[in-house]
Amino acid sequence: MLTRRVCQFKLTIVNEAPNELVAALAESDPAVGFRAVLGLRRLAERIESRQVALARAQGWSWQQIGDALGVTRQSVHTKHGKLS
Amino acid sequence: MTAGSPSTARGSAYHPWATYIAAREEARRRGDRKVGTEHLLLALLAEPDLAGILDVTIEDARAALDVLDLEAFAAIGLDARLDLPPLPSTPLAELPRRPTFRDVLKGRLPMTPTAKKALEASRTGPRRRPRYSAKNVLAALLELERPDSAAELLAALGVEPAAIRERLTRV
Repeated sequence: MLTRRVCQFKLTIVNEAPNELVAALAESDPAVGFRAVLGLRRLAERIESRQVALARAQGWSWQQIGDALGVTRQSVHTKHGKLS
Repeated sequence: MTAGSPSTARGSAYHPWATYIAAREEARRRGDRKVGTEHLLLALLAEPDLAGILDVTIEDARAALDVLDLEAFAAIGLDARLDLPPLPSTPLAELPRRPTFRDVLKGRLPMTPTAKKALEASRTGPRRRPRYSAKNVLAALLELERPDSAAELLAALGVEPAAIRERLTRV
């Protein structure tokens, strides 16, 4: 089972049977694999944006959010500040 | 979101920076850290005449990109569905017709090398008196081959580059 359980708490599981054909495609086509890599980065950005908004709503300071993400408070604020 | 579409309406000069700014917003909403060829294609689709030539709406293209992502996730064994909306859009309504250098620098994202080349292809005429055309950007994007992301998107949308190229020359 290749599915990462860790990821699934943020993701809703697709109920349809896993597509063996598509899975086989990844074995032979690196283009699909690379697309997945970029897709996961996009996913991380979207999760980050949502969590920062949530943290701000709960009264977190930019400093705290920066500490949690391992960056300075300025860089978090530059990236997400205007959205909240 | 047509408010921020780079305008090619009659009487207003096309400027490639307008396409870059619209493409950058598409990239940002998707969570990308670089402006790629697929974002340029989305930006061009915001222009009604080019969307007409391609016979694709910007919504179709955005949805097709999401489907490509889901397929790729499934292919690496991640049987998961992305249940997150795109990032909130920042208002582009005040996008000027002729963007200044400062507009471009504000919240800038780097371009991928291929995207840069495609945008540079918008210039015709001498360097001193350049003329820009969005159609040239589209033509440059149509030349790309898979696994380039714009080519993948066009294939997913069932667009035949050769047919569009012919239509472009007739317009």
